[in-house]
Amino acid sequence: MTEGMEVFGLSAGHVASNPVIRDASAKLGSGRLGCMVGRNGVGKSTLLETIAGLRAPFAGRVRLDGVDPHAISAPVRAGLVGYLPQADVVPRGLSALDYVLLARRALQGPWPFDRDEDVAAAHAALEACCADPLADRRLGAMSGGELQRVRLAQAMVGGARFLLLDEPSSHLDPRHRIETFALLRGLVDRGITALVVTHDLDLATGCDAAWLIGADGALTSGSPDDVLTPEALGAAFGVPFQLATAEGRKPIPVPMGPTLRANARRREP
Amino acid sequence: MGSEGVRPRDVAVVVGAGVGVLALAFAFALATGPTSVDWGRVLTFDRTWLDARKVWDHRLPRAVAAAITGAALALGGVVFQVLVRNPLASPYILGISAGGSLGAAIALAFGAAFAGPAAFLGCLAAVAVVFVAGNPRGALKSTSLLLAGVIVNATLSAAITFVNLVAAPSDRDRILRWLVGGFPEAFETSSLLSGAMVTASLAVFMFLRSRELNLIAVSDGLAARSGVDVRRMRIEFFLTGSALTAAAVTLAGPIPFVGLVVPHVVRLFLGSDHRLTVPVSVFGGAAFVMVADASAASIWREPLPAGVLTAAIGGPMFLVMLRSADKEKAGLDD
Amino acid sequence: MRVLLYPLLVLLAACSRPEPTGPGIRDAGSLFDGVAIPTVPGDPPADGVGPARIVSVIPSMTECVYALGLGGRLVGRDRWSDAPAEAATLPSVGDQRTMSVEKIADLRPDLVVTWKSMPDLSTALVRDFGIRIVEPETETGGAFAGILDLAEACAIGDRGRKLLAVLDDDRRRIEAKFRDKPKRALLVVLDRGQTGIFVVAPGSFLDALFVTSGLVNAAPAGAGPWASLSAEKLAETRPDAILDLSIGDTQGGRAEAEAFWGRFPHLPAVASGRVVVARAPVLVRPGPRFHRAAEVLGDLIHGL
Repeated sequence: MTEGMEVFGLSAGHVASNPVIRDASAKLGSGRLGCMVGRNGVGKSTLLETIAGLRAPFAGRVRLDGVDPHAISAPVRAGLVGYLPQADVVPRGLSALDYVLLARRALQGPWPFDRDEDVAAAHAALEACCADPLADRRLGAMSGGELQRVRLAQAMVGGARFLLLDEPSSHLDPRHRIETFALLRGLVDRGITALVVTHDLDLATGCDAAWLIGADGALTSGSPDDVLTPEALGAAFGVPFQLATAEGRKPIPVPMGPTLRANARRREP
Repeated sequence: MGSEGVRPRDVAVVVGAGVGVLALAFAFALATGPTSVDWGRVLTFDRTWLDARKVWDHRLPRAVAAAITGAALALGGVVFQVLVRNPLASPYILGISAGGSLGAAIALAFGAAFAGPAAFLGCLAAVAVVFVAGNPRGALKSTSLLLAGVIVNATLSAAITFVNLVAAPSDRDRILRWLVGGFPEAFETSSLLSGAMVTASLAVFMFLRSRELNLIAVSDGLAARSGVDVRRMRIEFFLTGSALTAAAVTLAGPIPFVGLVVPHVVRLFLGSDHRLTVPVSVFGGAAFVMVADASAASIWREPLPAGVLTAAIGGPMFLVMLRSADKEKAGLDD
Repeated sequence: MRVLLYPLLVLLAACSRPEPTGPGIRDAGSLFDGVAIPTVPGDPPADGVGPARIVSVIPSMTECVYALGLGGRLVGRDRWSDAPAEAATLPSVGDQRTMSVEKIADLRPDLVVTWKSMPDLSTALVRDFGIRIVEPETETGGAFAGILDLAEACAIGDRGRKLLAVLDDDRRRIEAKFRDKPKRALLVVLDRGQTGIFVVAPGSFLDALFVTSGLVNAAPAGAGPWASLSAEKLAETRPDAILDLSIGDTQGGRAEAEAFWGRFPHLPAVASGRVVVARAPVLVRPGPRFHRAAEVLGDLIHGL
């Protein structure tokens, strides 16, 4: 049994005759943090949903620690892989604890009550996401960053070993983006395997692996240094990239569009 | 609740309170009617006294019928509000009661004595139409259901208006009386028994499904991720809500406001966890209709149909609660 | 702008309300109130015979109770039982919409005369309260058979048959009276609604109304005892006279009826002032006064 996340020859999408993802193959080692990068609409969410077992592939296979998420029942799958979609309805009147407890359904028996172990697991998940002080606060009274941590806790509370996150920090300010990734790094260090769709290239370079979906839909994977090169990114996004250096850290690929001043200059009559 | 989740003792507390409220309402329904009774004679349980017959042979079955109807409508309201994810939904939003009303109107216009069976068939027909129309690709999605319901409601309302206009004047009276919603004077023990069993078992069934109700009330996506077979659950909820509504409408016509107001009031106090709102809505609905029916029979110089009072009480009560209460808790905040 | 002025004036002129023309409509007043209930000759039933306390919720049957000589035993009635005058003083238990079994039971009747079409009421009375009921035939075909049902339930079947004989004699006498009169076409209007007017159609016990009084029913056949006529259909029927029974109890009824019928000035009945409004439920009630009411009707219509 191979450990970790693996897709092989995967084709998926909305219509079988025109799949969004074609023949994708990639691996993510167990206990590693992977990022998925690509332009909007190229199929990142589709690929993520397929790996999570929420969308059936047209061809190819998905394996999570050797298990096919499409071949197991929904409750078993809920204990294997957690999925955090990009945007989702949030019940503002619910407390964080009650919200996280919702996702314990797959592990609870026929009686619809919360047991001590469910409450303990919920608190543990919230703690792991640095959100335990928020347990009794209403979701409607939280900031974006706080809400995201609670949602992350919910994705994990079922005991999933695999986490798939679709742009978890796109709407957050720089500090919260960094905190989110730090949080994910902490979870991964404790044994979770996480794959994150992100546009934060600076944080992506800090991941253990990178999956890049090119403009043609082809998937390349490997270490971020090998995959997220300025050439590959430029081809993927259709915008030239350069490496920018900052003190004390690896060079970061940065998109090179015209600067604001250059734009202003061009508009002058 | 609080920071401990929902435990058996929490449910036991609310069920206990619900039973208490139900008992009070039941006593009120026995004590209240179009005529006055001598309680000394009533409590002898001696059937030779007229007052004893009034309470035990006449008011008792009617109170039971009212309780069954109220419980069914309130629970139907809870279920449909989850299904279409809209707290303003009622069991009638999908046109089921309109189907029942049309069946009853047609039967009464042809001079039938009983509207019940025709109403039941009408409900079934409406359920079938909404299920087929609101179920493209087997998804039974909220918007499709709502849309199908709106169309069915509008079409059937026009048909009912038509039947009303062409019916003979004496039949028109009876049709209008049925449309207000109220109880007949006599009940078959068998229909009360079967109604009670159906409502009670569906209530228990929905209680066991309360976590799925909680999840689907947030979003289908969250439910799917948490291991719920969303498609099957939505069909279960749809059929349960329809069965409850059809049973209630067959028994007493389209009594208004119960399915809309009772779940809301319950949510305003207890929040939206269905492990609490399902049992409390069942007891609350039963109590509400019992009190409304008994009041309606005694409050005016002639007995009024129950529907008049559920609207008169339910409407203003809902407005008052809405103004003063915590909207976010009840899910009414957008 | 002036080009628009002239069509506008024409339009305004056309929209003005037509003044009522012709001699106007007549009010029958209390003409039909005076119709007496025929009674069975001979002594009324002895005290021990039949039920001691009777409640009747059917207006025609209330009249029958008095016709059979049992009026003294009536202890309750429905809202619409207004004849004879003594009946109106009895306690009312409501009408078909608001009847309550408890109120009826409080009157402690030995017999309740109730409708076939309210089975839940009947079941409640019999099963829950143990009160004896009779559901006389009141439907159109067997209207007078109900009299026998009632009489037999009161253990006075013979008196019932005698009453039927009295009513039959009445009918024959009245029919003979009007036999040689010209058969005028009469339209009897029961209700005015939004889709048209409801009139008495051929094919029910109400046919006797016309036959007895030497008239012809101007209405076309309908689906049952009533027919619904649109304004156009109304124009086609061309009755010689119109009897409007729809005005109910309100005082403004006559003015409102004038306004309504004034919209049909081309109808010969309207133009020649042969429209009569009346409050006369007795005319559509299959009770013992039916034939005598037809006689009053005949006198009225033939005398126009």
